[in-house]
Amino acid sequence: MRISRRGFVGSATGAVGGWLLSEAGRWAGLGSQAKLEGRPALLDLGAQCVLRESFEGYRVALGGQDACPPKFVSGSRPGHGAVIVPGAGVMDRGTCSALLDLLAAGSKVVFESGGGFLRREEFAVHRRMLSDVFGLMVDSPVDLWSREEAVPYVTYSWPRATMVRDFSRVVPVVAPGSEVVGRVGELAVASRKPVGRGHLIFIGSPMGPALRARDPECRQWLELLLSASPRVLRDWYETASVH
Amino acid sequence: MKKAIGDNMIPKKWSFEQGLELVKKAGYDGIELWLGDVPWFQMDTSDAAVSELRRKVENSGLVVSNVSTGLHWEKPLSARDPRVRAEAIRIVEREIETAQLLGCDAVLVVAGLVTAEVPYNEVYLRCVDAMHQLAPVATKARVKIGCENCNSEQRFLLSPREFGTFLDEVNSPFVGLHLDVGNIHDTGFAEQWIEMHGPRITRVHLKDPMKKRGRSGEPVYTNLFLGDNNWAAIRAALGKVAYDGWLVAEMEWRYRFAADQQFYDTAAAIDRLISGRL
Repeated sequence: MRISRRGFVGSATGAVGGWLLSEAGRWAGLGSQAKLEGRPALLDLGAQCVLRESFEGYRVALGGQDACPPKFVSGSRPGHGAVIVPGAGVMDRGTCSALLDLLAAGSKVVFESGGGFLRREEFAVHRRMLSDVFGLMVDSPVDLWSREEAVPYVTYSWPRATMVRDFSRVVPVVAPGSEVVGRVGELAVASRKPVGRGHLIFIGSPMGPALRARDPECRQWLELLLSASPRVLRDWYETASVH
Repeated sequence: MKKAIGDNMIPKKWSFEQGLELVKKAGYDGIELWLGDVPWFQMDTSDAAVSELRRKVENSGLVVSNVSTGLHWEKPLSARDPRVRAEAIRIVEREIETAQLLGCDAVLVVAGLVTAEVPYNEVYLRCVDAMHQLAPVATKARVKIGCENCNSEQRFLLSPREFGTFLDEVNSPFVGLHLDVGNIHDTGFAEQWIEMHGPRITRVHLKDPMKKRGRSGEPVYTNLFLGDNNWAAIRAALGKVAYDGWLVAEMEWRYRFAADQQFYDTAAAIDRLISGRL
């Protein structure tokens, strides 16, 4: 569906607002935090999205809002609240540079890696892309369920302590200069770091399927993540210890 | 009602032709073909070879009752990996294609697999997605997809109401229930499943479970009338919903000696079931 930028922004804001309103009753006490300061955009990478169901999960969680294609991100005025990039595989140069522009201008980019579901050679490119574009260092995917006595949860420490089901294969993050915000046991699988005036949140264990399955803690986590403004994130980051 | 038995029951060293001869002699009307379970019917078996299977079946005085497969235990429609799901979809598509070639109008699908790793809610959504994708294929081919109730093994769609909700969400007259009356174990009663799903039942698998076994490794399944199913109630329920389709023997536990005798004994038991003299 073709949609104008103004139309997209309006519908996205409305959809998210509607979602928050409808969910507010379920999540008592979150009303005041639920006010979004930015305009979350859901990026549809098309074939560069490895996990369509993860994309669908975010779409459902955001009230079924229309997604924007990378072209929209490239042409958008930087600085709107948040851009979610679900199930990312190997992205083209144009999309990467658009995301960097947004980060430079103060946006929050939630980058969910689909690297665990790439072929080995594709993952190598994915890994290089994360390093070159975002300065993020990641390790090869880990199959959590090949280990004995797997406990099926990723524990997030930010924006609130939350446990979300793992999605079998995680991409561990090892970047210095990032703050680890999600772990599976000893493995760091989610991080955040300031980039330009914005903020990059890396998620190495896909959350979209849990969102789609209506995991309430996961949806709450996303809501809080989206409601935190880049400035607040940056200030918090500067005063927090970085691992 | 007509009676059939699976070609995966044919003793391992026998040829397909020998098996057909036995099935016919034992008094069956048809044979269920198991894609991927027998050497003569694999995913890479050509269309021409599948047509040749049909010719052999019909030459022996039988018809193909339906196409089944156990391949989805390894490659479930509910897998997290999208590549595995694509393979699982392809398996169902091939079942449908071969059903057309074989002149039958139903296939069996194990629709999803709940595991410690892949939780129920995810499995449910992916299975509905898969059926939404496959229903138009089935409709075009005029072949019904029967999702089997594998209650204990799948840990999915455990009650008849739950199964009904699933089928309601799929909402296609070409997606129904392949009811295995032996799979319900101690989670319910086969006759109630029949009563609730009547016209949505595509085929009926027959076997008898022993409800108090299976937890220590003993076999759960046994021959018809030796287990805990209430066969009189099952027969009555089939009559109540006017089921007049195929009854397909799926004997999980095989005779240790005289393998062919199990074909005769099972056929005789199905005859008694159909006659209602129980």
